[in-house]
Amino acid sequence: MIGFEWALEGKRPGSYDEYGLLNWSDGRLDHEVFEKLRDRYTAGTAVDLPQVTIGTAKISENGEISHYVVLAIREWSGHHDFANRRIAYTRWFYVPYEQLVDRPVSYTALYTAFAALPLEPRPPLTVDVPPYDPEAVSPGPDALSAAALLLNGRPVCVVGADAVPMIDRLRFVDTVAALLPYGTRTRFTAATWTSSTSEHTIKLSFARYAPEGGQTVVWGHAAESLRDQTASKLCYQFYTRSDVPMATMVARLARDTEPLSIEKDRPKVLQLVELSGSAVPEIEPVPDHSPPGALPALSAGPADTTVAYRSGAGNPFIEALADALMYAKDVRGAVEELARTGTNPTARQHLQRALLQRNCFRSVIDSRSDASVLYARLVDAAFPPEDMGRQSTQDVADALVCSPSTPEIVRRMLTSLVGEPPAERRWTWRTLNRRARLAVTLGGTAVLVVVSVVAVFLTLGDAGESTPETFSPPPVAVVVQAPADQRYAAEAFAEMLRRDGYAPAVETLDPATFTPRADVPAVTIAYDLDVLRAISGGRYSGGDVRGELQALGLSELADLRVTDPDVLLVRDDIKQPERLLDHPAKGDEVLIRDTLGAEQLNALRDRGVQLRPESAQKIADLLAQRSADAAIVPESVSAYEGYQRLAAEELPLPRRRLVVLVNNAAGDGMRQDLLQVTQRADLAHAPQGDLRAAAKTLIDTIAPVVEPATLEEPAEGSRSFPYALFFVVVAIAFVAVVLWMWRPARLGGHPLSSKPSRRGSR
Amino acid sequence: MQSDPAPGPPAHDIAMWGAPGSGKTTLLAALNIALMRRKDDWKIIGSDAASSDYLIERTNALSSGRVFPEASQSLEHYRWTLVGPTERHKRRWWRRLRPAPPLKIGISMVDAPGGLFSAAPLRTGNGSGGVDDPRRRLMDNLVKSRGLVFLFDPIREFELGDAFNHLHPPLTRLAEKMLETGELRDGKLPHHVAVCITKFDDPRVLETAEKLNLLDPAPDDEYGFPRVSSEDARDLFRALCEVSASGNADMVVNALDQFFDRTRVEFFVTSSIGFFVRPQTKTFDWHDYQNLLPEAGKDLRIRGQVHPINVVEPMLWLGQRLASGGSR
Repeated sequence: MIGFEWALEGKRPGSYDEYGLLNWSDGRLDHEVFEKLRDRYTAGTAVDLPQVTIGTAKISENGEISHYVVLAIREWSGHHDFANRRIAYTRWFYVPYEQLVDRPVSYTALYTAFAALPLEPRPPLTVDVPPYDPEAVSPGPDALSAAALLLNGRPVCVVGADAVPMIDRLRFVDTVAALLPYGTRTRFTAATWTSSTSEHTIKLSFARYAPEGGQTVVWGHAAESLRDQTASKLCYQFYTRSDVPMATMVARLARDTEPLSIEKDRPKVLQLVELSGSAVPEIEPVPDHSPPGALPALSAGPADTTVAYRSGAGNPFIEALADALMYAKDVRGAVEELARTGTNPTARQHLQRALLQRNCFRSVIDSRSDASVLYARLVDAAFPPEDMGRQSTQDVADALVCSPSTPEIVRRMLTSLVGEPPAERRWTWRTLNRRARLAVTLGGTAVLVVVSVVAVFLTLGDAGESTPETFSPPPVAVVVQAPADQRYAAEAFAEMLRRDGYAPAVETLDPATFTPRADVPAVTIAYDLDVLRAISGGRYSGGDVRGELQALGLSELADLRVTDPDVLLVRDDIKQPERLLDHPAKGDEVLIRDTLGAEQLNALRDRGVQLRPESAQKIADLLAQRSADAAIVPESVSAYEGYQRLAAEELPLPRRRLVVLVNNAAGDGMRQDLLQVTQRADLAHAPQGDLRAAAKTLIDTIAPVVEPATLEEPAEGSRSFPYALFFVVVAIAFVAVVLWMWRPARLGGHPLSSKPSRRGSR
Repeated sequence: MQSDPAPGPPAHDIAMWGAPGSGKTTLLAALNIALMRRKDDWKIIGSDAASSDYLIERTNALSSGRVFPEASQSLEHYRWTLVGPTERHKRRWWRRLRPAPPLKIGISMVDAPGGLFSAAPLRTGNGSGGVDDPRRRLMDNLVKSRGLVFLFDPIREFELGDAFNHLHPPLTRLAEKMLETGELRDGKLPHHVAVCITKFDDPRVLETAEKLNLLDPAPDDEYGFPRVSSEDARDLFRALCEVSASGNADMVVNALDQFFDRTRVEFFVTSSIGFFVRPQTKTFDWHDYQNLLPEAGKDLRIRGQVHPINVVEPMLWLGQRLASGGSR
């Protein structure tokens, strides 16, 4: 059983007040603590509830620090405030970390246990939580990335998971937490949802868009930014190149219960992750803070010297010297002794790791006047230039550079080693001697002349024809898809995009066979019910399906404020067609598209209509063959010979909403272009005649074509000014002046000769 | 706070200010609809994807779903650009007719839960620099902003009377901060303030305005909605303050006069949802204009189309003032 404390946040029904604490347990934590935590872990104004936030608390009492794991469950209360707005309750639960040390549990298990409790639990305040199961942890590339990125200290935001159920997102959080030493749960913060427009301090969050300065992980994918982040890259490698099964790794990490900060104790966290994946039994990597005993003999066996870096076990001799340095009276001598061990690459790897684990011994070196000399000695010994080509050496150097605990001077030294290739002489204009400069001038001029001559021939050959597009990058291809009856809207969007430099192609969309484009930026104009189950939902919607949209790689950009009601078609030869609505007999089925939501179908069935859902294509075929008795179809495609519309005002027929969808490949610039059209144009009423010309006229009112200032309108029949010819004349004149000023006689030898100039010998 | 804002004009910080339920979030939600219902070419565009999403979702919820936004539970930041109509220069003989670029006003909007404006003290340093205290973050935003939209809810004032309690404490703290940084101008705060008297669609507010002969139907309004001009709005404000439940509302006017230069304060009588009009008549009907009918135990649903009144005007007024450097 696990003990806990709790607090309830919300409003009283009908209250005029702001959200606040309504009640809390009478335990160690007081009202002020609850208030502070409530403020700290506010994740924004949520709409889709429940959501879970995980936080931590550190309470100091009589000089003793206690860590708490905090779990907040936000859910709708079913009550309304004075303005008739729904009231959300946030149920806060606080579990002393000390109770979780010997009995590790997952956040999901905690959530399940707490969610079942009444709103205001009564003593005894304990819950039964099933123990942690490392076998259940099966991280994907996204969870591995998120865990590794957390080591950079910046928040990690998972995007693209809007449609993923909350409980699965919580399991993801659990998986990420399981990939870190258990002790980091004293600092680990996460939320299954955060607002993209709200500031928060939660380290691992889910949101539609990543916050500023945050690191993004796309649900289901490895993070690309891992490549650039050294500490994370290292951590990710430890996960993916582990010598043991993941369950073993997780089980080992669960035993590392010492409270740790992912950010401040990064080297140690990294080391524990590495050790957890090691084939050799883990050892306690933290140096003992008591003075070391006698050093082992220098003649460590060959097995010691060949231990690979990834084995996790350090060279005992180097480790002992490193520990001795921490307490040495003669620090300079101890540094020298340690530095001298870097005689071969393997020993240097151990030395590097000793520096990484002990923050370059800054606790004993920083305060000394000769600190820079000692750091330089250690860096020279551990990171000689010949080792910098090794990946492992670079990784450790990068980790040191990234660590905030690394002394600045060491960081600078390592940055210069990692960042710059072997020094090469930089060639600048000034480094060339006078003759070389002259030669370069003359050579460049000659090239200029040749290019100009070629240009003038080209210009004369194509006089009057402009060729700038030859050198400009090709425009970005964009597909604009729309049903046949929305050609005007499609042309308008295409025209707008064309004016902004895109190359749009308009395609007719067949709702029956609609497949989203993913290969190129695409705009899709479609009735929502045709492509998805009720994005908007008319009156009877199928709920929020933004998740389904995202799964298709689409997002809704705008609503064109055009609706298309469905109509009931009945074949002409059906006698007493009203019976289909009033007293349908067996077999009096009405076909309806199978893309409609259950709520819509139920609304129709409640009126007594016998429905038979079929695909749009099949309904179209049956109506064309006149083999269907009746069907509910969109008005825009209701013209079938041999069928009549049945007036059914009382029938809750579906209403479609015309929406604009864009795929993930569509950039912000393109979206802004499209929004300009949707906000300023009435696309509901297509004009008669040439739709493309009409669309151009429409877009003229929104984004008039502005011609570049240099292209003044030429007189009728005139030819463009021969700029190239003019340029050539100027270039030739320039060359003539140069040659006149520096006659060949002044050269006095080979231009690149290093001999002194014979200037003045004339 | 989403990353990679689109490049655009410099953003002017504007903060929403008002008691809980005074309509701050609803006013923002109605902004896009209000712009689209106008005949001029002003429009609002998100400067980042999250801010765009907010416009799209709130516009859909208010116009199609006809539901109000939930109560804010944290500070929300939106970055938008108001884009004005394109002006055309006169043609000169030496150059072609070319439209001038449209006026763009960047606004960075902060919407805070109304409770943060109450009298609770700011938390003193706890080592985290106050980042955990939303009141401190709100105050930082108020100090940074130069435009304020102060919402005065006459219904809440009539029933509860706590507008002053949500104005004076943060105002005093704001003045203290500005004094510290030497940003007071002639002893006044440098902000421009758009005072919005909300819920004009409520019969109690409309009828008060009518009794005071302050209604002024706009001649170019196709629906014939009654309006109160900015000049008369201050009078309506004073009249509504007189029926405050606590009797403290008169101090709201005095506090505004004390802390802000009067030339930097403008009054607007607003309604985020507007009046109900029948689709058949499309005309304001004095006998049937309530667009919000109470439904016990249910979410508030808006009865008909949303026709925001004076929702854009405060933003444009602030945006234009700030963009022009604050000179009158």
